[in-house]
Amino acid sequence: MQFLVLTHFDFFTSLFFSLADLVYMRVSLSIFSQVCLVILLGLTIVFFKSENYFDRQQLLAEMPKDNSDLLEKKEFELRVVKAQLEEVKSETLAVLEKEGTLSVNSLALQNLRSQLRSPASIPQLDMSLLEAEKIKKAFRDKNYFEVTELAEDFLDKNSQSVMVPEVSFFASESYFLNKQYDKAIGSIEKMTNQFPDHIMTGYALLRLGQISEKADQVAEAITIYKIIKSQFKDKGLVDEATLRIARIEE
Amino acid sequence: MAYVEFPKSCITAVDSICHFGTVKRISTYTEDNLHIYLGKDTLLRKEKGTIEWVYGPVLFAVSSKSVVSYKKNSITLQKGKYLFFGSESSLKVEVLEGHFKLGKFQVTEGFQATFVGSENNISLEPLQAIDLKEHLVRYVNVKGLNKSKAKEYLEEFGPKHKNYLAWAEELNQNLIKRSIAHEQRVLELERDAKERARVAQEKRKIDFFNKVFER
Repeated sequence: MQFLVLTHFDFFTSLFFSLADLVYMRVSLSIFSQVCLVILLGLTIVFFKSENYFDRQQLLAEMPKDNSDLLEKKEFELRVVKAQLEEVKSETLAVLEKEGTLSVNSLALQNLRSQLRSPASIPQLDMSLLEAEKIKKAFRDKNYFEVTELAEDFLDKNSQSVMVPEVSFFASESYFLNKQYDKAIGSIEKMTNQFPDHIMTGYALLRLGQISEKADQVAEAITIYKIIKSQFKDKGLVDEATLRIARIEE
Repeated sequence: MAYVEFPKSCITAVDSICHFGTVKRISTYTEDNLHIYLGKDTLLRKEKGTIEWVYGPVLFAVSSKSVVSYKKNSITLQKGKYLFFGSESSLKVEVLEGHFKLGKFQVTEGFQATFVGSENNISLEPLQAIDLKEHLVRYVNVKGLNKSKAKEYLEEFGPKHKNYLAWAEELNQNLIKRSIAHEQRVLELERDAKERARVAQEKRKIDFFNKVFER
């Protein structure tokens, strides 16, 4: 192909230069010869164009055809089959229940029910408690990096869980113990915004005060402890905050 | 025609069970008194001339009384417009015009009904007014309206929706009043029963004393 292109190119350039020679070197030519040369030039251009055209046509023919319609049909067939399967399950369940063939607590009946999620109003099982328990265990085992990874994942997936304040607390504590103070502060700030009256936020604020103390921001630390004293009613928290203020002021 | 049929070209056949619906494109289907707008990702079944809703957003524009079904339960649609949506396990219907009946339940214009259950065992969850925002998104998607048409529809539907909210409020108040009246009635009956028991007890005591005295 490369050879062919080069050959065509050579031929075309030589023809062009010959014509230029004829014109610029004022070689006298008959009108018939000039017409012949122009026709020859035209034919050459047409040849190049048509060759590209046929190449493109061949390329298009070789390209895979648009199968979107076929795919749509297949997808639809799959959906119909799935719907039919669900219907069969549903009808089987109805017959089994009606005839009392299987006992109410039998495993087969329960499996069928759970597959059909019957009745439909039963909400999905909340697995967030189990995940929160894993985080607690990792914290007790002092695997703080694992805690932060698990907690981030948990908070991404379970924003509505009742365990969010507790998991956020474990995350902030683990960041602190990993000496990732910036992340710890960010996590505590989130808690103060989202759960301002939760006891875990109080404990997290104690930690924030400690971080301020470490950074020699004593005044800020005292303010945080005073906030804890005024905002939280838990006696343990208030006592701890009072103790820390007294210790700083000594 | 962008809807898909399974088996092929079954929709006009009289005696076969035909599944039809859409996957990634919207479409329409007309039959007698029924004009059906199919949103994306829908599945309907046609059996013995009756159309059954399986899942997906579908708008039924009914020119005169028609019957469709859901899990073999007949739904009688009066002249009007009904937007069906939801999954296989629960059917939700927004009544835009007219009223429909499913078993013993009847739902009128402006309300959204949710039906849950299986064949011959359908229950209706508490009725609520059509949610404006969600409805508009759903309606525009099902009919494939452009921006100006959507705006026109909003102008038409907006004022109606205010009525729907008022109706829903009235319905809820009526239900609350009825519930209070029912509870009062139950309390009254309980009080009457206690009173009757007390009177009977008194009578037994008096009889007993009388017997003792006579003796």
